[in-house]
Amino acid sequence: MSRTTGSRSGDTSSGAADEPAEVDIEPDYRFTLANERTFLAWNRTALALIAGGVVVTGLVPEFGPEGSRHIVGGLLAVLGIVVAVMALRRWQRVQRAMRRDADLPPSRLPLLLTVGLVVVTLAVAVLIVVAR
Amino acid sequence: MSAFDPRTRRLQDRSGLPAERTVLSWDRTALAMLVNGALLLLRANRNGSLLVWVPAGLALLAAVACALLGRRRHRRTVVAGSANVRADTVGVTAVAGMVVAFGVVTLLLAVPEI
Repeated sequence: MSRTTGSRSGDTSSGAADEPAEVDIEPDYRFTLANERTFLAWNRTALALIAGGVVVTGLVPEFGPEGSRHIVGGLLAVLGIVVAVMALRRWQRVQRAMRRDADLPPSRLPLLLTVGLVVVTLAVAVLIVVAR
Repeated sequence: MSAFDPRTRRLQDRSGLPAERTVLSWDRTALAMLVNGALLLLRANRNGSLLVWVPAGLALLAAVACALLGRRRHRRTVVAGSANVRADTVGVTAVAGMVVAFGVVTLLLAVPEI
């Protein structure tokens, strides 16, 4: 059985600690589980966006010009899908980086979510103003 | 080899708390899916479209599947011991697939007349 856990956090003897490892070694289990929890947290965010889409398309009264609800609901659903797909890619890349003892890759997800939410909010504001 | 020692009633390694946080995270995700399913049911109830009952039922199944995946993950983590925890590629991909399916259904619902 290959050695897996504890080799990273406890190993201080290596002189080339900054170099990515040649072979993939499973990281400390706490990092694997933390990566998984982060992935799940992003997916809950995606589910919240999608739930917002369901509510806006079918459960709230019309708040703007005809079809506004469908535009906003569609935007929320698309944002949710993109977040879920990017979260999966992020999870894969982080897990690969940890196996190779490399730096974690940068994430565009927070920026994407922020921009997406600003766009949706502005869209709702404009639609409400236009309807007045 | 089990990490749980029945004689002392203690875990033999320290995988317990991170594993517990992780299974709770799976459960919260399952609850979020349940909420989505409930919203789809509300919507089906409101406009009476038979088409919406199908994704609502599937959403409830997805929530159960997510909770079971979390249980499986927890069991494997504790039984294998912290030295043998592997990335749960199947579970993670399944969750992402289910969330994307939720999104696609919602996108279809956003098209008028469905």
